[in-house]
Amino acid sequence: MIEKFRKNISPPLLACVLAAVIVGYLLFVSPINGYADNGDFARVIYINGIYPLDTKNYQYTTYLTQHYGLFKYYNEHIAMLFSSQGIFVKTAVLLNKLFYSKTVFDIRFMGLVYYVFYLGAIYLLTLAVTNSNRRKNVDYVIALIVVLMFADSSLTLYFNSFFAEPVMIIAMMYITASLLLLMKKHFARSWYMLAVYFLSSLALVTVKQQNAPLALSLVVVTIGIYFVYRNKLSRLLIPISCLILLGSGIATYVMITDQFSNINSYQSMTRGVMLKEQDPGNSLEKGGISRQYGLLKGDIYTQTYAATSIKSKNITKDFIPKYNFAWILKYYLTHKQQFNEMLDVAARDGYLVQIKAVGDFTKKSGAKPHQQVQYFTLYGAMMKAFFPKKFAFYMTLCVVLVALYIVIFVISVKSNEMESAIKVFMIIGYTTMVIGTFITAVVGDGDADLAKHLLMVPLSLNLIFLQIISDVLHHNFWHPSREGEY
Amino acid sequence: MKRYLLLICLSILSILSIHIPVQADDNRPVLLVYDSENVYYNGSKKIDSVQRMLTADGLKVKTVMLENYRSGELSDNKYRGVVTLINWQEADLSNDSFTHDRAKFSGTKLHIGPNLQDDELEGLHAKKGMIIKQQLTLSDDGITEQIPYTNRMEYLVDVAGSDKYGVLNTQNVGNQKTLPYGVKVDSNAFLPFWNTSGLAVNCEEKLIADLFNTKTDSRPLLVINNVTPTSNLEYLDKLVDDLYRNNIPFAVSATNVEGNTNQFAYKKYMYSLRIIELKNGIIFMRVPYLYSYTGKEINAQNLKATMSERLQLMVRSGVYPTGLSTPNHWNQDAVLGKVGLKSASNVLLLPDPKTYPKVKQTDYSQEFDKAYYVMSLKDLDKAKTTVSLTKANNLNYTLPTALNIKMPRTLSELRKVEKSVSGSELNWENPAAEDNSREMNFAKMKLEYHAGTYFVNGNEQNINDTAPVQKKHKHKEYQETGLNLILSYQGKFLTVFILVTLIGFVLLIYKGRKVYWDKFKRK
Repeated sequence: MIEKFRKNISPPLLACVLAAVIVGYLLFVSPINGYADNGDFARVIYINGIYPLDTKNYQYTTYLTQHYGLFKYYNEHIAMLFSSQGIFVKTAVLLNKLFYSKTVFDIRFMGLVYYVFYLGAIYLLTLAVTNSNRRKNVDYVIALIVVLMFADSSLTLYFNSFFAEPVMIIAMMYITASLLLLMKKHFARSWYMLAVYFLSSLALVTVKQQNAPLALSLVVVTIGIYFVYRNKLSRLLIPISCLILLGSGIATYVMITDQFSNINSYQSMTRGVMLKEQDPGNSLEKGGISRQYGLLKGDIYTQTYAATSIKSKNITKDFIPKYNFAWILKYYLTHKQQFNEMLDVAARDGYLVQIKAVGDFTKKSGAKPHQQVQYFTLYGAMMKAFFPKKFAFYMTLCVVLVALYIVIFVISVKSNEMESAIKVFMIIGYTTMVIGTFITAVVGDGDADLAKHLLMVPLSLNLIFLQIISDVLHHNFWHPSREGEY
Repeated sequence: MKRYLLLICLSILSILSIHIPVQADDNRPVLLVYDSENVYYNGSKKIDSVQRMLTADGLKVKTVMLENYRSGELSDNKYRGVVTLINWQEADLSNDSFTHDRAKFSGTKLHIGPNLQDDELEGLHAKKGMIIKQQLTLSDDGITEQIPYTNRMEYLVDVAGSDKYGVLNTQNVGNQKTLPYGVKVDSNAFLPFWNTSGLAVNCEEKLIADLFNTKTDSRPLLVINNVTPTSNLEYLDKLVDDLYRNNIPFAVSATNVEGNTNQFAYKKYMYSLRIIELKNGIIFMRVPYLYSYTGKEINAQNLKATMSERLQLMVRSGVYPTGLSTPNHWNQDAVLGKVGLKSASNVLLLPDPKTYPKVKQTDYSQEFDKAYYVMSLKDLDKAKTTVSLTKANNLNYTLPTALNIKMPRTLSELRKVEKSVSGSELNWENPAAEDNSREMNFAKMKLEYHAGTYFVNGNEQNINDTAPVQKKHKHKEYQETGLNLILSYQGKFLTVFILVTLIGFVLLIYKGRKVYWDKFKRK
């Protein structure tokens, strides 16, 4: 019986089927679930031809809206930002118009588009971390771990929403899977995997302004590939692809419109730099900004009752342009205590994936406003509760990981197994993502909306942990590129 | 004897029984009916301006859109007057119930704009004429202003025996026509168009005061607006000083924070406001700017709390506001108006911003002891008039009017503003020389401003003019004592010891690296 099972159902297939059932039930079976709008949807839906049907009763943060309207006539909205998310949304709109309705948009089509890509990612990821030649019980256990980690509702709830995060989740899974499969030389033609890696990286970097610095981390990861493919073509293509990644990162960062740039800029000061000092006046004066702006301390951009008009030139010309990312970084580097306090505030939310501020149910399901889903949240809940909430821990963890994998790199050089370089640089790149995300979240937007800004942290760490667990179970931790030799 | 007593009693009684009709204050509101907002052609700005001017005349106003008018709304006992404002001539919108009710209505009637109806013409005892494609000028009090090119305009013909407000002249050479601008016949009136600024405002104010509540002529109040805690205080101080040295009385519309009062920046801001009080300036606290993430954060409770807190913080710092400064839409909102503006008897009515949140918009505005119609001094200066409106000091403002200058952001803006004020020859209102008091009531406190003196609950206040000085933190040099002394040395010792040991380890590992590598290598 078990032999038959093992023969017919591979671990990737098992993982895929399980994930399909678990996530499919959450997203598509009524009453459906997904993250509710917290105001961020507007920047995505209008330029793609979608609008909320009932603007008077539109629910912000309390309930998920299942149905939206589709523009019938000319759409005059201009893009507020440049993002790869648009491709996915447009595909969903197309499918909706073909199979459902030309005027009403059901958010499940958005979920469907992500769902299909997601299942592909699950399959490839499981394939990447398990043995394909000789399937042992261990491989099925790993498949279950993959499902436990990545079918967690805190991640999959994103699929039924217009947030940019689903693209990030899926892209990271594809990046990891393609790199590991490259390393194992699983496919005869490695071009496919390289293409998957490259496209996923582009999608990841361009989906959000905050992801622009990830281009740097991905360049570190790409260097790993360079160690493996050393023919003339690769020597040319790999630096070019690095440049394209960097370029797309810069483009994403630069092309954002003033409106959003202003929100993040403003809050990075009022809810960041100014927040942890009793009187930020002196620090502001030293940095060339009038101390009067310190009186904005604690305000969010859309503060209900404000003492200044955020649209006035007093703010848009005399305040916001006076500082930038570098100014704020310099402030934090010279005020270590404030920086540590802010980083610890961020670290508290490091593994908080499920957004508490928005509800996960539709109004007609009868749930309470802001109600959170409990279905299949074991892994997320566990990590949220038990993972240490100090930034120093994250730092230490990353240092230890880098040290370990440098050792593995040296071993692979000595043993002439250069393919391991891919894994080494991937892990090192991911640790830079973790630390970098903390820093850019704090420097770029203060403590406003942290849970969403920190998604890369649990995502990268989960992928690192998955690989370590899989390597340990396969007894080839020190020689990752070897398969089935132990 | 008894007879004389009886006679005296009877005569006293008869005198007392002579009923002298006393004019009771008419408390009924005015109904403002408009056909369309016509935003592209500034129709909404006109509605805003009409509402503010009626409020400046001490009236309560209920605003209704023509197509939403319900039959029976306009009745003699409910309203004292009706204003019909037509913004969109081409649409020619009408509402039969409104036309019917208005014809039956016996109170005051004012029509602004085109499309005069027959019932209104009857009340005005006039016929209407039309001019097309003309360049007009408006004249009043010896000043003439060139009006923007008029495509179509209705005017009244055969209006002998009426009161006229301003005169319009066409520019046809050799065929100049003179038409009346504002026309009043008993309690009916007509204005062919409404301008929110310029010479027309003086005519409009006179007409409205004559129609509804008469007011004594007033001088305009100079207001510096857009003053916030993040403004450039150096420029504010310079501007205030400049006005003081030129003996120009003024007012300031300033916001206040709700927290962060421990900061030195706050003390500096409050000091600047106190100096304004000492230099013959009065303070109007501007209501907070409203921003909303989900559109539902404002409610009566937190509005009351924030208004009270901001006002109290001012008072605690020796700044005594004499009124509130607010955009018009607050007064058209049941929550923002009733709760937010409750404390003030004097308000500055600012024009509405382009977008604003509606909490409980009832379009039913309240009246104040003194409500100022605010317009920009710069706009007045720009008007194409024979005599600059900022130099015509014979020009009277019948309703309380305030002319505002914006808080300068740059040195060149400061110079421009100073120049525009010194260049104007207007007779500015001087609150310190007035008989009436300005009051504010909140948090069980009564603030009063009378003839240059401030009172809190009846007690005269002295305004502190000492500039705030920032406390410098002294770096405390302290010696550790006892156990802490030992531990600090221990800490230093351990650091050195561990460093040395680490260096030793690294050296030893380097020396024996070959041995260690062999242990790692796989056989």
